[in-house]
Amino acid sequence: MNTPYTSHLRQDEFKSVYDPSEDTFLLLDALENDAKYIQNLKPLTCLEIGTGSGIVTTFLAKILDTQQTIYVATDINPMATKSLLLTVKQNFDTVPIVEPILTNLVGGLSCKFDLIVFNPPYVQSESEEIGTKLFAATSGGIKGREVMDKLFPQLDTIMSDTGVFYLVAIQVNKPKEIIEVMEGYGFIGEILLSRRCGIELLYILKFIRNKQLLQ
Amino acid sequence: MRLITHNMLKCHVRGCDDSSKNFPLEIQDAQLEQIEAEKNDAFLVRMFPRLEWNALVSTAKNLSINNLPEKIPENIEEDQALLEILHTVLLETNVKEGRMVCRGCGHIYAIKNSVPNMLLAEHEI
Ligand SMILES: C[S@@+](CC[C@H](N)C(=O)[O-])C[C@H]1O[C@@H](n2cnc3c(N)ncnc32)[C@H](O)[C@@H]1O
Ligand SMILES: [Zn+2]
Repeated sequence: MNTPYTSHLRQDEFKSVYDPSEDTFLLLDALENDAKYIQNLKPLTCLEIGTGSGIVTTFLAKILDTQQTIYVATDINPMATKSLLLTVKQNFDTVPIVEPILTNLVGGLSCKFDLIVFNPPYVQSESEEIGTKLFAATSGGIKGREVMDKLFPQLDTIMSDTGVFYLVAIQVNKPKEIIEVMEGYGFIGEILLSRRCGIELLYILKFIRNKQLLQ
Repeated sequence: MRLITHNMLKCHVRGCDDSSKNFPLEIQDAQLEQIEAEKNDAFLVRMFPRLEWNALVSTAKNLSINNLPEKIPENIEEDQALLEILHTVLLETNVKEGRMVCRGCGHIYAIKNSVPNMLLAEHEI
């Protein structure tokens, strides 16, 4: 599948928005590999956390290729919410239902989502850098885990029973340990895809609810 | 923010846990706009059981949209007239500017350029 267009990102006003990078593209590849699963799931509600340019949500909408889904996407950067709408517009004749929300992770969301995806700020950094203008897209504090670790305990309340969660991580985040942590919250996880990119080893993790296995 | 999305938002200020008050948020000073969305009955029929109906009806009324039935409708897949209304209300009614006020703690969430701002300050989380 083609990579969605995001040409508006070259404009100065979008310079704070994360440019689709190797991590983004690995996530798109993983979603495309998992397209059959995603299509069979027939998600009604999709949620992207930290949407940035909006390329991931747009790609998801391409994979699903139906109007039977509402796509909600959050970010703490107002320009990301703006970029998302432009990216969606550029890539569809019939624009799907895409709703940006300015919020921290999933703050204020009260419904259940069938599919959740998050390419978090995962770079190891000073904790002070988290959420700052310059580093919000990248800095993840200790082990690069501080932002995603805040999300994990909240997933149970916002994911539907048959839901799925895709997460980007790198080696320093300790992907195996993330899977263990998530087990503690009732999820089972697997490494869906990994790729070396320079000195970085990137991973895409996939989680479903533990009890789904028993069905 | 389309009204379908408003149906998915609640106050998340620390300590504001009374679910009869922190949802739905009360829309005030709304500047509404009608946007066009592809007609989509199958989506509405599947989405219907997940809607908080009472919240939707009261929110709509507040915005002078009075054509939703008070009682949770049944068999909506056979009710073409209702599906039309739901389509217009949920998917085509967009709050461009305005604010959402929590009936529990009074917190105000702004809506600007159609985007709701649910961000809280550190001490509110
Ligand atoms: C690595 S970028 C990913 C952007 C885009 N999804 C992609 O894959 O190209 C991380 C994004 O998360 C956003 N972000 C950082 N902290 C966040 C938080 N606490 N809640 C929501 N979004 C956050 C950043 O603004 C940035 O857009
Ligand atoms: Zn409140």
